[in-house]
Amino acid sequence: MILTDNGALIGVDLGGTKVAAGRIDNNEPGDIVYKLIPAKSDDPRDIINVVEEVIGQLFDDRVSGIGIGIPGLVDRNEGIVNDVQNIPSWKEVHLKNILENRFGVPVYLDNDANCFALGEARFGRGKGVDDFVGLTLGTGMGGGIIKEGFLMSDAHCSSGEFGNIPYLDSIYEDYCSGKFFVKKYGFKGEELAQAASEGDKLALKAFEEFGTHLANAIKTIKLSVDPKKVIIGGSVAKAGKYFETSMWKSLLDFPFPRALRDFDVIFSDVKNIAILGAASLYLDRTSRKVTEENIM
Amino acid sequence: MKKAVVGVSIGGKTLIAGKVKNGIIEKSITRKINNKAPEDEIIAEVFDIINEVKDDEVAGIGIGVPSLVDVEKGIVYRVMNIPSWREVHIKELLTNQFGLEVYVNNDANCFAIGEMYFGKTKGIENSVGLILGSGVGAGVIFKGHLYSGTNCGAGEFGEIPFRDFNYEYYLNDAYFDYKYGVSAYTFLNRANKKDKIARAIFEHYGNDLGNLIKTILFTVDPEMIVIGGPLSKAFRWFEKGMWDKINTFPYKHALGKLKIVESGQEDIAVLGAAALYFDAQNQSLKK
Repeated sequence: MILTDNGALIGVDLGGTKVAAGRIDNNEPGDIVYKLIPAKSDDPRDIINVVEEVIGQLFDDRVSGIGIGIPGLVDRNEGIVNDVQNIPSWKEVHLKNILENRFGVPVYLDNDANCFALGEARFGRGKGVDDFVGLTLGTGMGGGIIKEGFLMSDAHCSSGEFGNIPYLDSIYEDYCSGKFFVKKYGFKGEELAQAASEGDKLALKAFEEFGTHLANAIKTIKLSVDPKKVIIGGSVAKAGKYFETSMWKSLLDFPFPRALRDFDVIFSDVKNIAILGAASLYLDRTSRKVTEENIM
Repeated sequence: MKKAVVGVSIGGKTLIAGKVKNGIIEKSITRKINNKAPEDEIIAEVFDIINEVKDDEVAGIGIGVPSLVDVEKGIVYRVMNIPSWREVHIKELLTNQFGLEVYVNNDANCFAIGEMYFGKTKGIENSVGLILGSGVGAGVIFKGHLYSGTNCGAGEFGEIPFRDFNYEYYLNDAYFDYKYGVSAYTFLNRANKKDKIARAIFEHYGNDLGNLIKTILFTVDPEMIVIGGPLSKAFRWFEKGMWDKINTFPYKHALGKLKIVESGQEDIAVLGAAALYFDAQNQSLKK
């Protein structure tokens, strides 16, 4: 259950090379703008300026909230960015405070995988599914848990970080993201997907192997949070057809077969989902408050 | 919580029933059962033991069973160590017999909710109860209520892949016999008497347990984890090894908040079964 908001919202996706932002008016996604960032700059203010500029292009007095997705460690309660991939200058940036002072509307931060899950819940294949897990498989592996239509509340902002779970000799991320293809086969996932499309046997085998590792990650998700669906996004999701079969084959020995009956793993197909999800942070936090107050 | 509830814990070899009122077990009976007996015989034993502790104050019955449970229908499947209990509609049987509200759940979930009502996780919104013994069981408390997931499969951390098998294999007590030829509880005695090998073995056990706890942090991320079951008595011997592993957690700045404690509550199985009743009452209040 997700409440709606009739005002406008802005969602921001902070990447390692650019900042992209979009606006949602009356629940309808609108324009997307983006700007490259000086990621190597050692002054954190340089990148904050770009974020402010991009938001400024979309901002007017109809905007009631801003949400930002960050590929890194975020203290979502305090609105502090602790560590971001590819932006070394950002250590403990109080982004929520900075942007709230600048724009005068509530600002919410979360990690990008949580934003993906939230985006799927409102605008993607998670619509109408109250309990699901969103998995992002790209250069890394992230996840977000949607429970009763909301992002799961947690103690250390680490729920749904399935990529960090111990697996074999390291962690799942090394076996279930683009890292697997680079480390084990020496090719990027995109290159192997291209080769697989041409029937290359080694590439097909790489994806088959990838599918068995991903199945273990999905078992871990089933056994810990038991969602109705897992929705997979990120660049690796595009190669889904090459690893889907081996993934399901490995899932067949799940210890509780009954639990697989109504379960599904599906692939995301919505554009700009990270931006839409970031914009939805505002609704997630404010409507969560409303329902919690009602309960009390 | 003025009403009294009967809590029943069904183990492989014993039945325990207690009348719980105001968080206190006023009366309790423990009885050995023949776990090879036919289904009906063991059900009759359960009826008997409930009758013996029940009185007019009792408003409901809660039962904890070591098995897969269909919580809504109150059906238990393939109960551990009771071969004749393959599919028992325990809720229906007890409701018909006693005319009271009956709640059934698996023993690990009872432990988790019991700790919240009567033990270490009192007042904590999100917690995990972990039982270490002949198996590895866990229950997740989310926003102050039992969280079962879509198919009551949430919190089955023991089944999660680890090394060449799963966590339960490396963390259950029989692994000590298998790996070292000595029982876990003999090692526990030896560790208590300053035996260095026994202490090293528990530190190693703590490392494996630390990996499981990291898995819990990266999935449901609770504020507190409470550890029970017979192996929890070795808590002080595996605590260091456990934290050594957990401290490699990349979200270290937030770890200061995490608490991991030993249950230490002997009667938690009965209290937890009784807590099922209170959890259900409070759930329906919420709705």
